[in-house]
Amino acid sequence: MALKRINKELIDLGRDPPSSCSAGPTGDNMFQWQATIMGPGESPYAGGVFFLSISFPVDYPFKPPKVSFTTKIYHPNINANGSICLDILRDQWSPALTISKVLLSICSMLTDPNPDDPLVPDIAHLYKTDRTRYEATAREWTRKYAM
Amino acid sequence: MSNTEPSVPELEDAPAAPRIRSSELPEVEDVDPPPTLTQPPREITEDTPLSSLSQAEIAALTEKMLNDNPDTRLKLIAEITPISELRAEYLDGSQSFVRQIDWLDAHGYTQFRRAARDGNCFYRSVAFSYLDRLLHAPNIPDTVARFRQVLESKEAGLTIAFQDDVHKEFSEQLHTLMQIIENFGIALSTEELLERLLEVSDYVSYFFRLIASAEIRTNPTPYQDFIFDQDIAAFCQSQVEAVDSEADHIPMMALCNALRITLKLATLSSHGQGPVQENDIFTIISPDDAMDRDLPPILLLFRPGHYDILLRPEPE
Repeated sequence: MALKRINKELIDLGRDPPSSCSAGPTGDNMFQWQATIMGPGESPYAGGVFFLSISFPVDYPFKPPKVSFTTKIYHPNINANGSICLDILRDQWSPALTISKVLLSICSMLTDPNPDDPLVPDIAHLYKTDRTRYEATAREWTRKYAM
Repeated sequence: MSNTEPSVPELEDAPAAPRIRSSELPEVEDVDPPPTLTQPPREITEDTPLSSLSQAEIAALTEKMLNDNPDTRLKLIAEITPISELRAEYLDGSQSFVRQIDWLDAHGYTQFRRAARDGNCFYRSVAFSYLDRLLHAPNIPDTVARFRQVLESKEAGLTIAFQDDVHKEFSEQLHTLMQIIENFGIALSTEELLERLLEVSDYVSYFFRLIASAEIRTNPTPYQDFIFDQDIAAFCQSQVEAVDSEADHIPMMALCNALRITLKLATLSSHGQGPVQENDIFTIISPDDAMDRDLPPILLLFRPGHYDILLRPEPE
């Protein structure tokens, strides 16, 4: 049954692709996808293209997909492994969510980080205390790793 | 774009790379290595070393195993079992449980079906009983039509409550099963129905969660006084819609009210003293507008933290 849902999401993504994101299987294995997110224009990630790895559990959509960045990114809620701290990927996951909605949530997290639930406390601290320096570093990382 | 370090030396005034001190980082799950774009699937045999399997291969194999092996699914709701087997489990434990099980046994509730303890036991058990009653209804097409009408009216409410049609993916599995019951009628056995349900029971269970949640959200009056320290939306999200959250009396009432069905719940308690009374064991949830009064009620057996399906076989 998981495959049926994953196939349906793939078809829906093709029919109605979300702006600034794309996603699809990396090979023949439908449980392993790759996604891209364009850095939102109003964020220091603008102009960057960020790659993510998505793996679906066998009981998808009743367990959340594993989503992580494979492109380095400077963000309070994303760590050096690319792990993402996002409630809907953990305890707030709902089977009614889709990869498309998850990617849109990640996009909005790029525009509006959540420094109160940080994965990298140093970046969260800088975000709260010196926004200009945070944005400069995020822009620099974007230029170095995502362009 | 590049994922590697640039070879140009960093300028003095370039922003300092942040120092991520690993000691300050929370534990994170292992992340799979970046996927390679062209890796043809290989054939996995008994000789393939287990340690060489990639995460993706393990996922594909597990999916295949779950699909190929009906036993894995059957255990979600087990075969009919004499209730004396449950009694035996409590002989060395609570004598109050034993007395209540004896009472059930003596009053015709002689069998039960175990439900898996995965957080879905209530919803899955209701789903099975809901469908099995249709199969045993005196007039199957009429009864299916009546149940379908209530479901369809609720689905309109779901679209409003969740501002989306996301529920359709889950409800369509229930509608398919009802269609099968209508088409096959009594040619379909209860065990065949169970097998078909268990192929999709996560979907049907989740649909019932959505129904209960929408009922609480759109008609909060009967429920809100029992919801403490949480607003209604947060309660519904964490206690009803979350896939592994156990159902307490609130979603139970909500589901019965929404589906207009009657539920008779036998509760085994360790506090019972003296002779067992029917009133002590059974709680009946029957909405004023219940539409299933011509059918036997859905019977569940509750022990603290878990629901099973209780059965009262017709006398031969």
